[in-house]
Amino acid sequence: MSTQISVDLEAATAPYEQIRSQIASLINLGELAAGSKLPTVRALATDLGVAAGTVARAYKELEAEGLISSRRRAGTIVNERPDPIDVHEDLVAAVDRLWELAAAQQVDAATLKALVARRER
Amino acid sequence: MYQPFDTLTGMEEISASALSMAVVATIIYLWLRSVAHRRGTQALRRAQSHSFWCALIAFFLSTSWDLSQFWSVPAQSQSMLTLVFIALNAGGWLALVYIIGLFTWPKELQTVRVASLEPRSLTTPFPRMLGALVGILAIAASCLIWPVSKVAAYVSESDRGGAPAQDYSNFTEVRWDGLDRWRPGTEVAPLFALCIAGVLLATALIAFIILKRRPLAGISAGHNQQLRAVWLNRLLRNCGWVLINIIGSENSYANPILGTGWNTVSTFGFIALGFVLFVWAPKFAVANVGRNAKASAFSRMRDHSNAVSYVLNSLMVLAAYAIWIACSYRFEHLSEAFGPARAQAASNTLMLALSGAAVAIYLLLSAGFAFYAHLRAKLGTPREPISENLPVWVYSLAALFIASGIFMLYTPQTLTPGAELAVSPWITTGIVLGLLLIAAGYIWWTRHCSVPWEVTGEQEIWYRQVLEFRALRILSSALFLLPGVASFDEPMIIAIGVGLFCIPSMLVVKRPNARLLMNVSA
Repeated sequence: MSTQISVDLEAATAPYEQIRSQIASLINLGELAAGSKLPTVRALATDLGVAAGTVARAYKELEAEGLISSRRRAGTIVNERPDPIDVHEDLVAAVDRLWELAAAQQVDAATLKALVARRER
Repeated sequence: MYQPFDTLTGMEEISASALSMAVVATIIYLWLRSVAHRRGTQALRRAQSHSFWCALIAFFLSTSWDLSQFWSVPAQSQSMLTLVFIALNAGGWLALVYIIGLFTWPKELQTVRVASLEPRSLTTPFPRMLGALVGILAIAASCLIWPVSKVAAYVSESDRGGAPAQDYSNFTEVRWDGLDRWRPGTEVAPLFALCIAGVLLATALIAFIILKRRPLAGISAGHNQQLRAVWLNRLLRNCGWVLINIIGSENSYANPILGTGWNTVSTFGFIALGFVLFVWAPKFAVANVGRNAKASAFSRMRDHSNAVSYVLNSLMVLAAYAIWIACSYRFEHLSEAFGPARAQAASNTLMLALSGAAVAIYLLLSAGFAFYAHLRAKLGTPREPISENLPVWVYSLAALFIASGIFMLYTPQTLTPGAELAVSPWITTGIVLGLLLIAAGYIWWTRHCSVPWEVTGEQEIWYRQVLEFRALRILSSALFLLPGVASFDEPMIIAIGVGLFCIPSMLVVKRPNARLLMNVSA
């Protein structure tokens, strides 16, 4: 598994929310399979260079949404989704096209994500 | 008579050791910091360079200690505290250099930070096979403490006052060192145990820090993970080298218990193990991460040349050690049967013949690699070879050293009064002429062989000049070392010979224009 998330400290969205939304998206898209383990709060906070409380809050909200569950011994585990999102092929193709355009115009991933986030409702 | 440790040590020893350690640590810190902060260099490049320098410094500092001080009793008595310092040196330097290395990376504030969601465990980047080998070495080193503890103290007959002593005639290490006394195993064993414990503790501590430390800023999570694996690989290889060093010292000291036969087996075993550790690089090529996938033709030509040089020089170092061992055995074997004079003659002859053969093989193998490149060039569209002479001063110096070496081979008594040429002049003449002919043939070949790389004329000249310089270097070095080792055993002459062997080609052959390198495609 090479799933990665990023945190932009200059973005208007709070860091905990960025972490929460990215992990939630990865779970909804099936990138994070049910039963897979997430890194510990301390490890992820160290890697992202944020406070442990920030990651803890993101995990807590994800747990409240029923996406993950924390167990004392097993760590943080991704839950089984009752109704996984079925991403339409056209949408995947559109995203692929978007990436190609971004690459052609030398727009990096962070800028592209920011552009997408700007249209978020 | 043999005296136990002098327990009266002042604070001066601690102060002196701490001060020298602090000075060296400061220099290491400043150097690593400067490597990590180099302006205008990509972060990944800096991380690779920083990690390499750290491992290199740690290797040299942790393996350059003479553990025979544990048992030798010098004229000026060493205190117990000094010996404890020596025992902790390897582990201490290993820990110190790696800790400095791990915490000299600049804190580059980044607004966008990336992290992998892969759960990081202590075992993820840990090289298990290498860890197992180091574990076996650690067990072997620990087990050898038992025979070490059984060795009794030895005092020479003159110091003993005629009292009977144990038979230590097979204690070759002592004979080589010329020691007339050594400490008992009961005192030496704890020092070895402390040394092993220090190294293992330092390795465990650093491995833990490597696995748990914050990722380096400026490089991706994947590269950080790879870097952790590289750090661990180098750390374990370094630890393995130190343990081999310790085991070798334990073997030397415990010779009277283990026997000389075991010493012979272990010596070659350690050379093989050392080589295995030397080449046990990480599975992925971190050094290539971030480089252009399509290397320039000049880069590939230079890499080919460097790889050949690296392999052949490594072979020469191993060959030198094997020749030394073989000649020592021959001398010992013949000395018992025919006396030292005849044994010395036979040993010197063998030394000259084997060394000459090693140099000839070096040149032939190097020519063979050039022949391989030549064959590859013939598959494409070969061009007319372009070559130029090296600077005149290079030929002048090479001629001077070669002539001096040949002169010393024939007239050893000119430098060392009383030294006799034990080798037949006919054999010497054959070896010298053979080497000169092979070198001349090699130089002719390097000027006439084809090169398969699409490089500029300037770069092709550079390649041929580097090969020619290497031939002159090995020839000058060998002809200076041969009399130095075989007839004189003079440290200064040997040092000059080794120094010649170590001259890098970049000091002599000017590298082609850097701007041209960027424009040349593969």
